[in-house]
Amino acid sequence: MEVDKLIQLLKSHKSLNTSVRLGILLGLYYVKSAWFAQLLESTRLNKAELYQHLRVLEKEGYIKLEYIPTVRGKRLRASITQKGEEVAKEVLKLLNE
Amino acid sequence: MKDEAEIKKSLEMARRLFYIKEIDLVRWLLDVYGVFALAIFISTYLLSLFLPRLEVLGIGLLVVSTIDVIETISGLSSPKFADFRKLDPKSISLTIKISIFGLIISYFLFIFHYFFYPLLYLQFILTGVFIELSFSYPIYHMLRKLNEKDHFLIASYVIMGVCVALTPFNYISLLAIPTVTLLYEILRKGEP
Repeated sequence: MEVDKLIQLLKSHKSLNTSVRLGILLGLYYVKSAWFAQLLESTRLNKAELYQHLRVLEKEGYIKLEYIPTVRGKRLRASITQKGEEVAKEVLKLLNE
Repeated sequence: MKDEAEIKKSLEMARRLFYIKEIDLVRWLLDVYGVFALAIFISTYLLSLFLPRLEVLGIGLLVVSTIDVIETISGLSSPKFADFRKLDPKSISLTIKISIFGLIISYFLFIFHYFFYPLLYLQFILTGVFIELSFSYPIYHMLRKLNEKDHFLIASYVIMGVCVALTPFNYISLLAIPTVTLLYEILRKGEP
């Protein structure tokens, strides 16, 4: 694991400079898309905090948020964008994952 | 981001999301399987009270429901059959696809059994499937709290196996469960 290089890389992507946002991005890289409830469980944050983090990632173009109608009402789904995939790939390369 | 510990925390979070999504998918598959099996049992039973040609009717019901199950499940493996949950087939791991395959095999074995011995043990088989479905829920919730996600799958398959074993089902079906479990264990090592 090349930690120094990785920290440098994350400094150039300021919105990813927190463990939670990086975790969300890497998770979405693996699964491509996830429901809000699934992200809530994996991050163990409260709803408001998670929503804020997702909005930041969306604003930077790493993820896409959309409301999907389901049998239980509208649900928020996050999916990774092309830009997000490229960054995640770079991060994982430095992590040797 | 300051140090390696924070990076590890991010990786742990990403892995957790992967496992959660995978388990949700398995639970949904068991739901589809169990609910359809129960629906067939109830429909066949109720209609048998009024109609004499039950064999033909029962087989007809099985064919219709099988088409329905296959259509729903195929949404997981092919983009051509995208279902209402909008699952991305590319994001589904090989382990889940093997599970789907295992369920389809056992479903067809169940149908063949029915075809050769109409209604003989149908009630027991479907009760077994339903018990498996019922048991998987508390285990799912219990283990999820403990964060022992792998064990859920194993427990689910073991219960399924026990239920199948307790019912006078075809012996071949017994091989499907441990095989799927073993493959799951092997393949899990290659997952992120």
